[in-house]
Amino acid sequence: MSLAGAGLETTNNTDAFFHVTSLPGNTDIEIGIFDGDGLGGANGSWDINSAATIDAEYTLFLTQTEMV
Amino acid sequence: MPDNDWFIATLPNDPQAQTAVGAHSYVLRAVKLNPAGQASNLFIARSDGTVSIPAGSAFNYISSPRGFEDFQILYPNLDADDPACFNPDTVTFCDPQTDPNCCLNPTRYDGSWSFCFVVPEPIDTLDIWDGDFDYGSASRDSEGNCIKPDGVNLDTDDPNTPIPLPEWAINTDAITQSARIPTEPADDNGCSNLTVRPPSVIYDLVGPNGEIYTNVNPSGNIEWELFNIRTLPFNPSLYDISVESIEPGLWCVKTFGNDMQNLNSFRLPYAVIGIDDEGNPVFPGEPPTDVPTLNQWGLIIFSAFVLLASVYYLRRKRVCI
Repeated sequence: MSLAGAGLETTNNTDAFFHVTSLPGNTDIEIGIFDGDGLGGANGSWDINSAATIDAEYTLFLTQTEMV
Repeated sequence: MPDNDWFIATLPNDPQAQTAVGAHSYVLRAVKLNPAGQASNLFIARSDGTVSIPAGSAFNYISSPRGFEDFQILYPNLDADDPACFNPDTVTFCDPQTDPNCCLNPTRYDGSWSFCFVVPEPIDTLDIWDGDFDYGSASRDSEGNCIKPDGVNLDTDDPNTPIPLPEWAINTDAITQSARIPTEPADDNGCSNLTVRPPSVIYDLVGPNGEIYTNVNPSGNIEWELFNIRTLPFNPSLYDISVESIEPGLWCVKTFGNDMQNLNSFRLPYAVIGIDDEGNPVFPGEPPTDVPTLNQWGLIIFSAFVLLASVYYLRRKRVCI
């Protein structure tokens, strides 16, 4: 299942949120991110924090990108 | 995380996230670490479970090719060295609308997007907020000058959008709704054959029984507009369309004419649900289709390039993050 077209919120918040659900009976959850940086682009690189936080959130960290 | 490819993480379910029905519920959070400055980053999120944008959460979408390689994907016949394709003197491309042999034919981006949500029970009001659609056309005159606005399509003062800003938009870059003329960048931007997608951007609200309610004049520049339907007698100062009923089921907002390099926003009253491998919406609690095989990955990546070209830094437009 994929969700295309999501972006950061149209607010001054710095976070974008998605609700992700692993279906009953699954022991694992698979999450995929397609990074559309542009061919060979070095901007907007992403890293994922693979560990669940205490409140069971997964977090993607977006490195700062500058307006050009 | 690789550029222009899928990054896949398989993680054990956390018992703390288990729900009463045995599922596991998480929030995937994308964080802009440095709050200074404006930036954009485009991505697709997927899971072997379900993915959705929370109800009442504003989000943006854009088709944003950045480099020549991206445009080559969008236009397989693109040849900027061919004067019939690109005129370096006027810095213009041929017109794919009037010239069937134009190098911008065919294209892999048709300018349409779809966002779906589930209404769980009969309701009497359905509010759709659209933001920064930049409705308002521009075009070139007979001498090739870009005329903006060209007066063909203009944003209007929306009578049922409340003044001042809704509470959730206060302290953002959004401005009070009015007739925003001109819009920046214009949609349709007929001054650029490369990025324009006729018509000027509009959208349909499509109900579970096939009913269609069209917003023919969405928001202008950096503003939010309210488009809503209600089961009450028509009152243009309060709502757009009077309907007999608003049935439960799958509703979709289908947009048309989204120019490239023009960011748009929505805020929908219910969670925006994801799609399966076949492009069909996945209802909450229902399993999606099987996890893609290696063969299917190619199709998905191909689709990603169609829908999502690259990161693009908006030079002429304010991006609200």
